[in-house]
Amino acid sequence: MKKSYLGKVMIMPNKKLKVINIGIETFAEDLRKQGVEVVHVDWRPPAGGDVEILKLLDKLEEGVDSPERDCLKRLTSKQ
Amino acid sequence: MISQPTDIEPQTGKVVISGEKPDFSSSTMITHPLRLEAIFIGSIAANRSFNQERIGQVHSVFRRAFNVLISDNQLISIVRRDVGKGPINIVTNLPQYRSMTSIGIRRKYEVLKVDDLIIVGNNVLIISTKNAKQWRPRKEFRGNLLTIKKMRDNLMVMKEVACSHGHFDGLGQLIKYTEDEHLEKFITKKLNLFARMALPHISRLLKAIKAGSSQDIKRSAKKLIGFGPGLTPSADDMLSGLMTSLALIAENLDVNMNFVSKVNKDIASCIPGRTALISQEFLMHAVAGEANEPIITLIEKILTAKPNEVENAAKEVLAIGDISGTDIVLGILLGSQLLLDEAQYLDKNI
Amino acid sequence: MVVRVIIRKDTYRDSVTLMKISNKVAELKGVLQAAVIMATPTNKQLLRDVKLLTDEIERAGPNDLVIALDTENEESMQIAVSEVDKLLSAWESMEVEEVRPKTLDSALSIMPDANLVMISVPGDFAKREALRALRKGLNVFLFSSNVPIEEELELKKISKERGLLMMGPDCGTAIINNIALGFGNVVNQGPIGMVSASGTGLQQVSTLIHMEGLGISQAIGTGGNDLSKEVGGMMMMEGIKLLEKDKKTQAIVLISKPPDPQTGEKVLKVAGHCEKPIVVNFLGEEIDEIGKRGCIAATTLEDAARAACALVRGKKIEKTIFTLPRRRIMSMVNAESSKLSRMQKYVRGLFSGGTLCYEALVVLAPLIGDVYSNIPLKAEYELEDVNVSKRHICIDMGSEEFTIGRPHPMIDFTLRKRRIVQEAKDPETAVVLLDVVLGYGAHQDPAAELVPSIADAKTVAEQNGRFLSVVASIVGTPEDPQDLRKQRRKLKGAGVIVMPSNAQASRIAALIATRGTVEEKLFG
Repeated sequence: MKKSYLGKVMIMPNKKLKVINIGIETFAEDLRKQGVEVVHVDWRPPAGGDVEILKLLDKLEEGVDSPERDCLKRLTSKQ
Repeated sequence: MISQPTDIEPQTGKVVISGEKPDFSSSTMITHPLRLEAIFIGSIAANRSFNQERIGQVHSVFRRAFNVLISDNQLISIVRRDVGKGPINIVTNLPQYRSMTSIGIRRKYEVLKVDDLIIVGNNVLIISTKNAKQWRPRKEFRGNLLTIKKMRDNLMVMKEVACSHGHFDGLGQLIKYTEDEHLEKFITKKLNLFARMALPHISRLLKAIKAGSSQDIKRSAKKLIGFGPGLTPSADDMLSGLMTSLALIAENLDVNMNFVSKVNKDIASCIPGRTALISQEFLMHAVAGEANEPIITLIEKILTAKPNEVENAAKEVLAIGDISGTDIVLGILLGSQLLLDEAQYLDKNI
Repeated sequence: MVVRVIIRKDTYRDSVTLMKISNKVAELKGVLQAAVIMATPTNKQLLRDVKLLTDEIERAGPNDLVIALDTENEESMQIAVSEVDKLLSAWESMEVEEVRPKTLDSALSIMPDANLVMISVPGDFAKREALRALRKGLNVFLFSSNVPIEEELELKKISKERGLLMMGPDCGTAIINNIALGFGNVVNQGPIGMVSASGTGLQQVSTLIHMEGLGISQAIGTGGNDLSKEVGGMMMMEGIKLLEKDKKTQAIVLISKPPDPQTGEKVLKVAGHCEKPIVVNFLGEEIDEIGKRGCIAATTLEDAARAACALVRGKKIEKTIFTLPRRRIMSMVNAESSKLSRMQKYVRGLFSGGTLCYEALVVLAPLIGDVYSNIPLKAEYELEDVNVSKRHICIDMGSEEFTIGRPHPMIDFTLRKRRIVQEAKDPETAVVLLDVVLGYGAHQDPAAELVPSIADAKTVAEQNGRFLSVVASIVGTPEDPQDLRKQRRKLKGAGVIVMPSNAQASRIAALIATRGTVEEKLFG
């Protein structure tokens, strides 16, 4: 049965938001003002903007979502 | 265009930014990604990472190395240059004055392999394995075998070096207080708690090995595995040294290999679940006589080399870990004595 | 001899430090031994033998670390333990300061129970980051824009599969568990849920609901392109299903600029099957389909807000023209328009929010005819030069031509201030129409920014024998950092006509510019 992650956030109203903020730091500050626990990530372009590495990484990301893996996912998610 | 690393030159490991920073220095010193070169890959590390896209996750980070968890109970160790070669080690050109804890790697970081590159975290660290040589722990020693007497002399050299350069917070202390090679007489009052508690079990283990009693070997092993201080428990390091020396000496002196093999397997059967994962790795490899290079070299030197070479080799082993080295040497001492006695008795043509 | 054990789980990271710490502590007076040991069965047995095995250690495993202290007496023990604690916290805070995570993974090691990732990196890198977050089972709020539509579709497919929120790309606002994400307002929690493809639209509706005395359960942002042909309303449909299941939600409001027709139908079909009443605002697009599916159509954002409130309260749904009585409105109109010179006849709307600009166009069209814009209702009314006004205009100053190399107009008022004065110099400008958006992310005091320029503009007009009328609506609540009431007071003090909603502000601007001639048309 598919795990409902969203259920964790929404359907349990007492669940606190715990946020990781990547990018503009003021968003993290605004969240903290509302009492939210935030970890701010000092984001830099990956691979130092190195295009070759970026391409390799993209290739890898695609591979992870290959048809074989999807099939496996489907098989293993049927309990 | 590949960006150049700004703090470590890939081939020589020479530092470009000067100034040693302490271990806990700000990781903002690092420009990401940090690029290292792998110089050697241990044969088991190679098997575990070969043809994988996702190798695993960072399991633990230390000064000189970080471990990657491959599956539930297997590790690869990515190590600093001075740690040296080992079956599960990928030796990088990270120089001695840098520490793995300060380069920004954290537990649970994903470790991926893309062609020649090992990528840790989201481009925190990239290791090129293009020029890495595979390293296989050797079983056959180089050089001519010495006489048994000379081997024993070398053991004494090793023991002396340990007494002066070792750390004695764990079982290794027993080296210092060995009056009798067979660990029967001791100044127990001076022993630390762990050495004191472990002593009877070590004694029984040795007896059990000599008697070839599988049951007794296992009983004693169970009392020792996981015991003692240190991140790799002291008794584990001793057992690693013991098993490695048993396996390698038996191999090279052509003494009772089946017997030794059985002893190591008996000990090994007691390992699962009893100790930390990292320690488990070392123990399991020691069963087959596979260990990090300094350990193999030391045992090799005891059997084939001059005393001063043995001294140097012993110092290398003593430098392993914090107290691990001393405990390993204790194990080597015990294992070697056992087999040299046996070899002499059988009067093989040596 | 007193022995104590301190247990540290998952301490591989600072294992070296622990050794150093234990060595340091071992040197303290009265400390016999300090050892770092793993909680293996054999070590636990040792602790048991010396009567030190606590429940905590019993539960620990062979990969957990224990610091064992052996001291001469209790006093030394206290000192030793406090020293260990001190050294450990010093190390940890040093570590936490030192570590400003640079990646999602490192952030997760600091906060392993994170449940939402907010991403505002350049569009080129947005998909990668969002994908990573989704794969880790985290909900995503993606502020980044300029993300290719195929990438958006891919992300939303994955998030749907995993039951996660994928808010964006190009999502500026959401309210989740009563927390404003991005540009959002402080509003009460309550029974009305929202799914919106428009950020300022979400803000307008949620603030009006708050001012009505009700509140928001969840307001899910979908990003501006959700209801395009390619994306097919994926997030909106998921949002509807979620709010249907949410016990706290009694009514749902959907907001989007006019959707791709096929997508609109798909979404309405899902909305139609929803058990809870749904109010739909596709920004004025009167789609028959809405009513056919059993949903309530709202032409303006304000109507949507009030309709949702009425549904929850079991009251009749009414359309709002003005909240003040007609008489009052017309007297305000007359007071303004009587000062206009003959030539003055045009409305010049200068907006920071695209949706509000669009809504103004929709409201004004039946009243004053077609209005020029950089986002016009009809292609032929696109402004040739966005910097030069022609007849009636409503321009979205948050769109690209204005924001390249500049902060968004909700934060930076420079361009708008300049434009207000520019319009005042045009003898044909009758009314300047403004939106003022409050809340998190917005400028900390918009009124203070605008008032001087408004004063200058009015002076320019006066010096030339004219009167510049300025009308504004404020999107916000008294609870916002800027405080709606304070902002209103400041603007009113500068002679601005402040209306409760963008729709009303647009209507009154039309009345003023036409000197009341559209009164009948408006009130019917």
